[in-house]
Amino acid sequence: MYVLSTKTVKLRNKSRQVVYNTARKIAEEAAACLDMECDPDALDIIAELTYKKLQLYAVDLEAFQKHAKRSAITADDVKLLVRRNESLKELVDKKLQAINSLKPPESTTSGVKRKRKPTETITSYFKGTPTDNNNS
Amino acid sequence: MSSNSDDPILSKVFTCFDHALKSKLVNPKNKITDDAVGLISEVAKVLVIEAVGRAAQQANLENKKKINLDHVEIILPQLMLDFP
Repeated sequence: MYVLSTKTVKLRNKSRQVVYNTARKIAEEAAACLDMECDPDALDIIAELTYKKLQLYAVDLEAFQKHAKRSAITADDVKLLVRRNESLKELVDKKLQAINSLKPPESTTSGVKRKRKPTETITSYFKGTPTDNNNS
Repeated sequence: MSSNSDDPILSKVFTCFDHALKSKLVNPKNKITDDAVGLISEVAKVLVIEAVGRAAQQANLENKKKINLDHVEIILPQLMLDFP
């Protein structure tokens, strides 16, 4: 067991709150898409769940990176993480293609490093999603 | 639902998870590429939406309009198995 500095602890608490709030917002929107309401307890538990999952992912990704003797965690590590689940693999590949197609070629540098297409909505996840349980 | 209200949230996800992920790494000196952060935030987003979707399905089975903690509890095992 090792002692964390208070600065690290405060940063971790802050990032935890950020994840909670974001997850809660997404969950509320998703529930609204399905014409359902969500109990605050249920929202909390989903938020906690994603936070814990993210921690596990971070540990795994770091292990993959170390195994590959790399200096940074890359997209390949994420691909390895989702290798078991077919639909997640597709999702990750699709997203990677989208990210790469948005990147300008390496020679040019526009002022904006990354442009996001505002066509993603939560409803798009419910129509023809790559996941198994589809509610649409 | 208006699509306008979805966009700000989804575009915020990236920046939120970006910092949150980095600070959670076991070894704080490790770097993580932006691509990887984007992909992980996508997976986390899908996790939340999938959880809500499955819990809503459970609530529908009981003909309820509110997603309860019990519904989330029921879908939890399969959800944990499906995500790595």
